[in-house]
Amino acid sequence: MSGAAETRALARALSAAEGARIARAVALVDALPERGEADALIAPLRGRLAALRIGRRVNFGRLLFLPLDPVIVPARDWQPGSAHLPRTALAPLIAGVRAALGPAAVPLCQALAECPDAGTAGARLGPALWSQAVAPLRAMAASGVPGWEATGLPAAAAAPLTHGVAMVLEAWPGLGPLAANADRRVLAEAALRQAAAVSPLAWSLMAAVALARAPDPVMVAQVAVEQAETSGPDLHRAMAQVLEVTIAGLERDAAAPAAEAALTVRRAAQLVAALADRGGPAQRAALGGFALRLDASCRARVAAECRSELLAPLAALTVPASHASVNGLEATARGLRDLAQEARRIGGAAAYDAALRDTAEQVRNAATALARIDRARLVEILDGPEAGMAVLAAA
Amino acid sequence: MPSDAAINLPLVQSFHPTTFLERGVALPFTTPALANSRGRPGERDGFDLIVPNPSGGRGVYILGWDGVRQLCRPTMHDAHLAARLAALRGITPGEIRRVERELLAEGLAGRDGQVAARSTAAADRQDRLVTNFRLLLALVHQLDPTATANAPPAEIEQRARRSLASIAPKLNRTTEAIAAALEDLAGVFAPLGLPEQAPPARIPRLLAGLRLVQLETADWARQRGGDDGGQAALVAAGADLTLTCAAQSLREVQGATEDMVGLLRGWGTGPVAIATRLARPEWLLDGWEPIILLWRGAATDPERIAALAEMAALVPVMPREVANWLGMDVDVEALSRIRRSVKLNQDWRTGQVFARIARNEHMRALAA
Repeated sequence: MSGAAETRALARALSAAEGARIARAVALVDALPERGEADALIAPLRGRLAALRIGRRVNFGRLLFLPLDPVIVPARDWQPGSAHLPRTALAPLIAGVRAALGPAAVPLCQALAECPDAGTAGARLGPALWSQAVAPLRAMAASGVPGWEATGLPAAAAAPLTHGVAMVLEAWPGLGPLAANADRRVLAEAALRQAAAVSPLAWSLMAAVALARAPDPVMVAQVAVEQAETSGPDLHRAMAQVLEVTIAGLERDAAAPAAEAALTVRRAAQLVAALADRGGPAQRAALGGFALRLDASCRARVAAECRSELLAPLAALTVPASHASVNGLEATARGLRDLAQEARRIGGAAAYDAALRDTAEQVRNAATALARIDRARLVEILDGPEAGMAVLAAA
Repeated sequence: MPSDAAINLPLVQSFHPTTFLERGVALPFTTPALANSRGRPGERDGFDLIVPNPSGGRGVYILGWDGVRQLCRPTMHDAHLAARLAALRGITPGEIRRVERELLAEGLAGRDGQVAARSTAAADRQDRLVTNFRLLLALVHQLDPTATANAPPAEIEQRARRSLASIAPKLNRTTEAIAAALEDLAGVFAPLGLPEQAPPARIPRLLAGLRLVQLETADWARQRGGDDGGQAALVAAGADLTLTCAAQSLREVQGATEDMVGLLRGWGTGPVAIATRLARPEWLLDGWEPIILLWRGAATDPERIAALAEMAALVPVMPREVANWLGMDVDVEALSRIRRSVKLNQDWRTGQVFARIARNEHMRALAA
């Protein structure tokens, strides 16, 4: 079995594990000095980590590159000019910034050790680190990145990638999810314009990161498309790269558990709607193809998971149904309903209505261990409060 | 939910209630679009709902339950709550709590709520018994200052019987009637507790929870600017005003137990007036419990930022009547001024409707 296949097999095994084992595995991975591809082990668990409230330990390097998470890829998947950051480039940049900060990094690392999770670390310590990192990164971009040869990447890639990272970190406090609402559009326009002045790569990294993480992706998309349309062919190509990265990220995130996937599908639907009639034929084709794939996968998924995740466990319930099993069924139904609610923005409203109504009908009529009120609530989640009330009224 | 354009209802641009009754009581709806809705007796009959503008803008809708269906699709729990509101003779925080607990016990907000309601009902019965005993002890001690709570139970019982027998003729009541009045008062005092009571009763616990939220949100506002800093400042200011008023009101009502004979005399002639006065701390704190729970439930800074947006929108308006209640000047306008300067982010109203319903149900279970 290849390394990648082994990782996938381990990830599958871990995804079926109970909470305490997952917490131990996450702690082990987070304690590695270089997590690298070990991250792939826990990537499929993101939804469960949140549900189990398992915090991720954050070290200096992870905090530094937190804003760039959506564009970091294994080096083998990276191509020069793509809107990606190869993972092997991180180590020399982290070391360079750490060395430049000197003793100033010590209190930061101590504070990090007390942060329970990445979100809190990013909110409390991120802005200060990102702003302090900009100057050392620019210095490295200008004079060379120590240790770059160990990355296995072309020497010519060092300066543009390092510049791009510096641009993103400099702009992130104003663009990211913790930024104030005021003037977000103005900040996005300025950040992308400044990045474009550095290089198309810096612009594409900035746009890809903002599209993936900014609170208002539609606004970012509009700004990016406007700038690409009014600029030369370099930004046209960069926009195509951004779209490719964005679509790949959305397709990956849409595979998360239904409740989490609903948020991704919402983001995707908003982007598709905002960009449907913008850009050239290639962009429209890429978006159209993505929308079709997402539509088909969501329809298939809702139909399949209604059977496998709801009706099958329902039939297997024993009397009396435990709190955990009832709560689990409700959580599954809610996730599917939220997913259907968002996915219908792309299409298939009637198909979702039919799938959910049919499932509700089967719940209503199933010979199960569910109490009437539990059955009514499940029907309510799937088919609306009126249907739930009808179950209660039939008592 | 229908689009705003489809809503054919009058929007009240501002909501500055003069009295607590006009402000209404926070209703524990689980439908996200009905968050922060309040209920009050209807102008003709039934009840009116005060529902914040679902578009996220300023202003409220004042409407009956039929009107609510134009705004959103209420959950089964909320439909049952509305049906029971219509049957209530008065809408008070205590009545709403009682009705909500019934709904939770029936399982309308899920299994967790059902379990919580059942265990809280048992705890309440215990609290009532303990409060009855404390009131009796206070009476005994006031009539016979040599009596101590540490005396053997048989002696306390004997002294209590003597105390009841000695005051009954003075109040022109039978001993049994006085004992029954103490039991009734125990029901009213159980959530308030008596001075220095440990462990504290529900209302003092709520005050302590609010105090923590006030400190932490004030700290947050000092450290951060932007929208969430402003929202934290609004929550902190609202909590501060409420704490000042509710703590004083609680001291006053608990102080009534320092004259048990007077309290029993008053209860004998006008129990409704006394119960109404004793309910003031609960009216003052009405609407703050969900805010406290939202803050407690936010474990990370990004979650706290999201929670603050929601919390700021929930900060209750303080009616001018509070000055009459407390007999002091209260600058209720200061809170309105801060509110006008704060951007109330409404992002939380959109998306993941069913996950939000579950979150709301979880909060109802915690507040049971």
